[in-house]
Amino acid sequence: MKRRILFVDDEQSLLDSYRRSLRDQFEVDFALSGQQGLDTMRANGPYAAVVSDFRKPGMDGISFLSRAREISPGTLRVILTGMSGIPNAVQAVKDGDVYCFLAKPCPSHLLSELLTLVLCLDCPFPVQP
Amino acid sequence: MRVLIAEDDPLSRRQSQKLEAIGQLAPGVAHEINTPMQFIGDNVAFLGEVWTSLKPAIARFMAMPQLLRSGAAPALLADEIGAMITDADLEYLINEFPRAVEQSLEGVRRVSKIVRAMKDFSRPASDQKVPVDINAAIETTVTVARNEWRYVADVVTDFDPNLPAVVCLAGEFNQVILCLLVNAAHAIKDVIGDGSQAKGQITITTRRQENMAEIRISDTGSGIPEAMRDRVFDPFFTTKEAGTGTGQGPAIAYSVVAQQHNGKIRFETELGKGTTFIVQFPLEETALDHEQYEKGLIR
Repeated sequence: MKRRILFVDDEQSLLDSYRRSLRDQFEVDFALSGQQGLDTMRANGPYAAVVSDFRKPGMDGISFLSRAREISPGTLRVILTGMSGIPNAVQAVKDGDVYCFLAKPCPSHLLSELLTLVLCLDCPFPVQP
Repeated sequence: MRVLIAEDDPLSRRQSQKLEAIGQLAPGVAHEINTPMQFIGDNVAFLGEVWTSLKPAIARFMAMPQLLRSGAAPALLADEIGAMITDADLEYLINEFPRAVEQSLEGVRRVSKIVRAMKDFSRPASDQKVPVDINAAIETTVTVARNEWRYVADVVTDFDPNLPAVVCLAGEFNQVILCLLVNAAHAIKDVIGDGSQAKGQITITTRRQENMAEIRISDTGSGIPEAMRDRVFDPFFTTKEAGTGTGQGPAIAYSVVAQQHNGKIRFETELGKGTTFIVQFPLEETALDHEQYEKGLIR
């Protein structure tokens, strides 16, 4: 029984590398844009966590995460981004109610440990049915 | 205490303008480098894990000849091979291994490209006009500024491969392209807004027009309203809210093109369709003619 995580990023290569690194610990789904991410959450949710980049074509990470919260309030929201200024982080926590804010590059073993840790804390969708 | 008073030296002023441009691009460039670094690192870690899982399979494979010679039953060998395939997850690795290598190499190429572009872009300011391959210079600027446009537009380039070198101030030329490129990206951003999936397009073409090299930078933005058209090249005129960019792009471009290079800059705009900035730099022959004319060598 693996926990389900949704990754949203516009880099296919990055998504593929997460898929390789995390496949032993998590069941991982991917979306290339914010809109696709919301559609995936509606169709295949609930996810234990959603991990999004900060900036994406069409919809920025914060509007994506605040809409993700409306769809699935219990899903943990994580930002993983290369644009890690403090104002960005503050805004993300305020408007996107994100659980944590990670800077790229973030090695996959750290990401995996961190997801495991935060998902232990409190999550209504701990494992896939 | 010593107080240094800087003279208004045009060269150092230009150098500081360029440093400012580089400073503004730096977070975007960092992002463009960090993303590939992340997946390269993960992929290499993955390849390391693959090796760990392959090692027992390889050991068992190396023991096979011995098993065969000692007369092991074919069924037993088949089971052994089957177990090796499952244990090492070979079905999965056969696709993922080469993809991880290919994507990592592509990531390395991307990082090298942007680092090289950054280096080309930030060469020290010079007073000397030098022959510049403007197609390559535009490519460099587009690469360095990728993070400024990639979320709102695709950039399409259509270069004249036979365009002669343009004698110009290389750093200033890059700055003109950067200003107009960022201006085009902002114009498109205003149209697509947040939440929209559609991307706009920025088209950059180079052509020879008689004795001028012509660069056209087109956006698919909303066009410039009639009331603002007269003021586009005015310094201090901007339509931007504080903090969203200076809006000084066209004014900086005007000063470089018209005042420093004896070139021409104008725009064509249509509401709802977009804007094209057209920049013309004199080609070497005319620049030389101009120099000789100045020296009284020709009339």
